[in-house]
This record gives sequence, structure tokens and C-alpha cells, in this order.
Amino acid sequence: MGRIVLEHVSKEFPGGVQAVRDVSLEIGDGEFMVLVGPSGCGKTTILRMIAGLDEVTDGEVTIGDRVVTDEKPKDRDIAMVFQNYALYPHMNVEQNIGFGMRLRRTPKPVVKQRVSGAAQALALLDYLARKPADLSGGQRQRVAIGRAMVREPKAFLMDEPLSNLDAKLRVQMRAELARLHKQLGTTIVYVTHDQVEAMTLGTRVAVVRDGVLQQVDTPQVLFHNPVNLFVAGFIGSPTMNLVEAAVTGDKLEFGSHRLPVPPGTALEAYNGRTVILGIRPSDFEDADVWRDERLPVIEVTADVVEDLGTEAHVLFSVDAPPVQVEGVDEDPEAGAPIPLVAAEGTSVFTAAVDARTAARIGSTVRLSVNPARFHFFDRDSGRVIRSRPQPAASS
Amino acid sequence: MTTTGTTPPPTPVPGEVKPRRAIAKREDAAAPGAGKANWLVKLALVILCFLWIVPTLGIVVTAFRTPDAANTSGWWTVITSPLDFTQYTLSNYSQAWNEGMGNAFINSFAVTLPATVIPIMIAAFAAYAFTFMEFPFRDSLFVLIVALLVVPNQVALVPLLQIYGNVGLTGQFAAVYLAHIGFGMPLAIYILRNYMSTLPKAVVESAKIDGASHFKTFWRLIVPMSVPALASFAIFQFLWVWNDLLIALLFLGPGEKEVVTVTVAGLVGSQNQGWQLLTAGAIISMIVPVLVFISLQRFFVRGLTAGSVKG
Repeated sequence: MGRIVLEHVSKEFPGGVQAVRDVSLEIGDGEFMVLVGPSGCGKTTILRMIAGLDEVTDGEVTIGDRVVTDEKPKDRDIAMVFQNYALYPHMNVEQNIGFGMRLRRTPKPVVKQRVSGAAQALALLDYLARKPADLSGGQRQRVAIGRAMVREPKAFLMDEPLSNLDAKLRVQMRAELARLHKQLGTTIVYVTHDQVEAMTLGTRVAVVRDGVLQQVDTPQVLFHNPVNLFVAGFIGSPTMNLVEAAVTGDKLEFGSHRLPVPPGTALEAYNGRTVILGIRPSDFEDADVWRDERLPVIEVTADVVEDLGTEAHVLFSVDAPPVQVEGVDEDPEAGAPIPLVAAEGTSVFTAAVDARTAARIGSTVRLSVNPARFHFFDRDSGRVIRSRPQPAASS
Repeated sequence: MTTTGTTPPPTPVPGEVKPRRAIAKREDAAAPGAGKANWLVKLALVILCFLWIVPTLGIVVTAFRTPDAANTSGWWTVITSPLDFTQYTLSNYSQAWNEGMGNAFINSFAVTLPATVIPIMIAAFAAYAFTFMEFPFRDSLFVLIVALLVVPNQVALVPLLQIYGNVGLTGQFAAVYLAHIGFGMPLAIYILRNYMSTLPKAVVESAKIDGASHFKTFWRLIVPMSVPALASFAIFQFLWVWNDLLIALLFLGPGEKEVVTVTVAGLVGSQNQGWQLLTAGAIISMIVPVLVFISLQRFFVRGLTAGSVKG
């Protein structure tokens, strides 16, 4: 059983840095759990505490049916794949993969059989005699994964395993990992700062910020029902448009735009106050391409139009103060928003619309938007303002 | 090459051209385009090489001269008539060898080998602990060891001589190599720890998860990965001990157990006018360090850890 349970786990490093605060997390057997968050948020520390490489300051770690809080890494029956592969440079691929088994005095025929099994699964059979230095980045990464595989552990712990690969290879290895997980059915705990990896790989995703779990759920729920501003801003690419909006009766006002408050939203308490409105870029559509008469339309001037072929991103400014979510835009690799300098007091919005749009730079675009998919957050706490159950809201 | 007899410079030139070419070649390989040293740099290199080679050349030439020639004129006089073979002889080598150099060679090995191998062994263990293990006062202890680097071995000669006298070690090989081990250790630990701390931590952590004990991690991973540092320290230590005269002279002295340096020094002492013997002895004694250097220098390859982690 590869169940992993963290109960009220905290980590304080010497010097007083509180890296992880009271994290409780249950990872089911065979689950692909992704820990995601900006750099320095404590996600790697959580992983290292599961591995036993870092001791927990407080709390309890259970792997399988055993409490392993005070056990050594080798007794936890886990295997880890490191960001920089951590291959043994003086050993060839075969020796690298078999090292752990040889240490445990596994009989030689078994070692040989498992190594060739893993090599076959990872397309490494032709490279068994090579040293790591003679392998490409992707091959090295596969050796590192193979080394973890042959141990047949209760769980794989992966620390940003793809971040050293180039973009194309990363996409390839991502698919490879998903396939491998399906094939092996072993629990995987996977750390990344890349929300695209998190969304595509995870059975469930845990969003971490400043050592605190923000939300743990399936990628779909994270995307459609983020519990706070941070998760809303972190998950999704391009990032969610966030803006301050005033609630007046059944109208929402932001900049020069007025939109109806969608039915079923619990905004009554906020009447006359300001909330934070979040709109996914994908919830906009060019009204001249796809017209749904039921949806309200706003008119904007396109500052930038990026035609990606499959869709087009229309960037436009909204005359309302922007909402900065700390930590979201920090990593340049994490699909950060396009650095477009907005004038003081205006926010830059992105709309992902059909590629057939006629929008050009400087032209006026009519965008339809579905208020039922709006996200509202409390301005002070950053927490989501829950809408009443609406089956159609998150399709 | 045609030598007319009165052209002084040609002899050193072939010796210099080689290193220059080697350097230029390596630069080209490393950074094509950036490797074109301009002529000023080349000229400076030629001059430096020449200055560096002159004393060595003097030793080599003197070692082949007859006693008469060596006693009456400087080695540079051969340049005026380099093809006059009557002034050269090989007998200096056989004579120097017969002064007891064969036995001295064995003695030198008896001192140098333990003085090289033992500190490397101990220092590698210590460096591993300083790098990968956690224990109280680790950093202060390391600073203390590094501080020992500034202690010159001469300060310990008298106390050591007394202690050796008390325990009956005077005149034993161990007296010399123990002194060298002690004084080589701080540098060995320092070099090895600095090297080990550049090794990727993830490799050690990975081994930990794989189930390797400290002992296994050390022998199976860290030692093989530290070969460049081990080799460079081995070369240094070997050369120092092999070339050491002071400690060997004090603790072993001339006689049955004298080492090569003592014998070579004695060649001129006993003959008073035996520079041709001294230089021949020096060249014989050089053979071993040169062989050691050549055989170990291939371990100086950079990037032995290449491929272990992303590079």
C-alpha cells in the first residue's frame, strides 16, 4: 500500500526559517499528487520530509501502514528522482540503475532482469554500457527514473524532474511520466513550480504558498473553483484576469464596464462594496465570431493581439486598479503573464478567443463573457466568495 | 637545421616550440576564435619558457661533461662548440649510481610511499565527514585544521627529535614519514574537503535513499568521484616528500638508510668538486617524480563528474 499521510507536519530550519507550517495531506494509494507553488514555498521541503532527507520539526509522516517520522530514508521504501538527476558519474547506465539493488544484496539474476525490464520500459536498452556523461539530458532523466523504478518502492518522490530539460523534451517526458504512472500504478508525489505540469500530470494537485497548503483538489476543481486569490492567479495559463469591481445592486462595475451580477452569487452582503472579480481568459469570446445572445458584451480596444493559431490572445486595458497576487508572477518559467506595462491604475486583461477573430492591434473588439463563470474574492482576505450550488457554473 | 658552429640560440629553440604549440592547440579547442594569442603574448611566452629552461639546461649539460671540463669552465661554454664530443661523457651517471643511489632509491620509496598513501587515506575520511556528516563543532574543527596550515614543520623538528629519541624511532623510516604525514594532513584535508563540497549533494542523498551507509557512500561514490583531487594531492605530497632533504637528513641522516636527496647532496660534499656527479644524480633522482607526474596527470581531467547532474 503506497498511501502517504502527513499529519500537522511543520519544518523549521535552524535560524528560524519556517519552511512548512502545519501541513496535513493524505495521498491515496496509486495517486499522482503534484505539489505546486512558487519557488521557496516549501514544496520541496515537504517532499524531502516524506523522503526522510529533512527531519520534521513537528507532526507525523506515515507511509503505507507505518509511521516513519523517525525512520531513515532507506527504511521508508521510497525512491526519489532529483531535479539534477544525481546519477553516479563513474558508473554506466546499468550500474546506475542497479546500484540500489546491489546495495541491498538482491540476487544478481534478479538485478539483471529488473534492470533490463526498466531499460526496456524507458527505451534505454541500447545505452546500458554508457556513462551518464555520454547521454543526452532526456536519457539521463530516464536513467534517474529507471533507478527509482527498479526498486519497486511504495512511492516515487520526484523533485522537479523535468525542469532541466528543454521545452520540447519536457512535453515529451511529461507524457512519458503520465504513461509510466498508468502502467506502474505506484503512488507518485511530484514537485513542480510549473502549473502546466501540475494540471496535466496530477490526479490531485496541492497548491502550496509560504509553507501552507492552499488547496488540494483535482486540476479541474482548482481551475474552476479556486478557494482564494493565490490559487486563482497561480493555476491557469494565461493567468486569470483579476480586477477590483464595485457591486451596486445587481450590477458589477469595473472601469467603464458594467456587467450583471450572475444569478445565484452570494454577493448581497457586498452590496455597495468592492470585491475582486476574476475572469478566466478562456471565458471571453469574440462576439463577432461566436455570438450567444444570452451573454453580455463589452467593447474594448485591443492593445496586443497574439495569434497562436489555435486561439488568439487579445490583450486590452481596463480602467480599474490591478490586483497583484504575491508570488504568482515571480517565476518566469511558470507561464507568467506577458510583461505589458499598464498605465497607473489600469489593469491588463487577456482574452483567449477564437483564432478567426478579426481583432487587430488598436481595433475595437466586442467580447462576450459569461457572468456565470465569474470568480469573486473578498478584497481583504483574498478568499473566494462562494456562489450557491450551481450545476452549470463549472462545466 | 644547419649549424655553422657560431650560432648561439638554435639549441633551446626546438625545446620551446613544443609547449607553445600545445598551448595554442588547447586554446583553439576550448574556444575557437578566441584562441588567437597575439604576437606579444607569444613573445612573452617564448621569453618565459627560455628563462625557465636555462637552469634545467645547465643541469642537463653539466651532467654530461667530463670532470675536467666541469671543473674548469661553465656549462654554457659548450654552446660555442656543441659538436665537440670529446667534452661529453656518460660516466657521470654510472659513477653517481655507484655512490649508493640504488639503495637510496629503495629508501626513498620506503619513506615516500607511506608518506603519500597514509595521509590521503586519513584525509579522505576526514574530508568526507567534514563535508557530508553533521556533528557538533564541525566547522570550528575544520577551521582549526586549516589554521594548522601555517605551522612550518621546522618548528617541530626539535620536539620531534626528542620524542623520537624517547620512543626509539630515531633512524627509522617511520620517523620521517610520520613527520611528513602530520604536516601533509592539513593541506590534504583542506583540498579534499573543498573538492568534495563541490560534488552534487543530491548524489549522496540519492545513495542514502538507495540504502548506502556512510562507509559505502564513501568507497563506492565519493572516492571514485574525488579521483582528480586525490591525484593532485598525491602528486604534490609525493614530490614534496621525495624532494625533502631537511627532515630526511635530520631523522635518518647519511648512512645505511639515507634517501636519494641525501645521497645527491653528498655527491658534491664528498668530492668537493663533483658538480658533474651532483647533476647526474639529480637527473637520476628526477626520473621517479617525472614518472609519477606523467602517470597521474591524466586524472586531472576536468569534468569527471560530467553527466552526473545537469551540466
